[in-house]
Amino acid sequence: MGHLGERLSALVDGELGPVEHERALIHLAGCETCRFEADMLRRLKRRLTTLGEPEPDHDFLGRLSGLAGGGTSGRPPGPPPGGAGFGMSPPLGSSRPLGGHPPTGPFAAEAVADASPAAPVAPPPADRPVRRRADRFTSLLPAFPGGRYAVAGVAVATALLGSAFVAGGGDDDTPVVEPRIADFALEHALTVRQLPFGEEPPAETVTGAAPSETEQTR
Amino acid sequence: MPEPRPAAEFEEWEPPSWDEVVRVHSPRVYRLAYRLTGNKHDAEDLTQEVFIRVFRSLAKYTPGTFEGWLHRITTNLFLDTARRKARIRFEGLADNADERIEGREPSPAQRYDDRHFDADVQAALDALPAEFRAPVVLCDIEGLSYEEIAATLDVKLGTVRSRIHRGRAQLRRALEHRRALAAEKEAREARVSTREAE
Repeated sequence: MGHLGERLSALVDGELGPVEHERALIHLAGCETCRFEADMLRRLKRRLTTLGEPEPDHDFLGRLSGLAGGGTSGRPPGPPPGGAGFGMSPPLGSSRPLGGHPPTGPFAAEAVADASPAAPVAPPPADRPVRRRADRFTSLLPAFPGGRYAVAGVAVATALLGSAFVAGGGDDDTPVVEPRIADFALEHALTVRQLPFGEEPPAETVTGAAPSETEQTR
Repeated sequence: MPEPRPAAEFEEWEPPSWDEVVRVHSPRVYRLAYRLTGNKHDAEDLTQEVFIRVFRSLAKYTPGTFEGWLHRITTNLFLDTARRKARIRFEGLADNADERIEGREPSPAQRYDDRHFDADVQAALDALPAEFRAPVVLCDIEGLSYEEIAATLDVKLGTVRSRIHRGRAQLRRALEHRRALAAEKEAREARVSTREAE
């Protein structure tokens, strides 16, 4: 019987039948060359088996989640054009109860401020998905060219108010929740295709104070 | 209820949400894609291609068969792309191979870093023809049996065995070659630094 050849790989992988396995072991006992080869193969296999596990990026996972909303044609390179996909509906649903309450305004506006280049003081929610969706949201902004600075102003003002509101809340875990609410509010805005602060009476009342606020920030 | 199945079983199964599918399966698909393609960019492209197909076929989703199916489409999409690229790449292979080895050469500071060893193995994997790389990755990184690999690649069991064996033989040669290159480079650098010191 010659050397084991490719049976060595099968032996190392535990893929030989019982009879063949026995025979291979008997051969190994008397064959220095095959023993060396088997040893090398085992080392190589161990090296491959213990390779680190590359993790997908957070951003990339967001893109995959976004596939659901991007239709099935081709490869959507970025965020889906049509707003939320079916995978995102649970967050949307949970944002509903907030819809009628004043806090929604500040939070939503804050998220917009994050996306707008004209609002450098916007407190960064620091959550990547928020950024990603906020980027998509900027495509809505050119539709309100005149209101751009007002939007920024409102955003800044309401962001400040929003922080005050959060600070007033006093709870330790409130800041953790904050980016998510902004996120949901944005999703909601995208789905109904309306700017969230346009229909918020509290946000409107702040508009008067906005220009001075904006001046300060420049 | 018109279903002949027991009610309990009927209620147990719920189609997963898309987010759930992505969350549960993307790390595995990405890992396989990364080891097959050898870099982040191509791994992301391949993973995305896989999930586009998953999305289209979500209606046919049945628990249990999904993992094998993911292996299959990931590997086959990779092989398709590799075959398409092979036609272009073979012409400039000599230049390309050198460049790749040079480009991936880790700095001396990284030499004892774990990632360095990973990069070495990955570079050796990259140098394997796709037909050998796929069964080796499925066997040693994904832990599939020969039978499962045969089903995934749609080839005979004997073919799996011989490709794994030949793939490993080439891997070993590539790793030895890289080791020799690294030693040579080290020696060269040592010479340069002693000359500078003089």
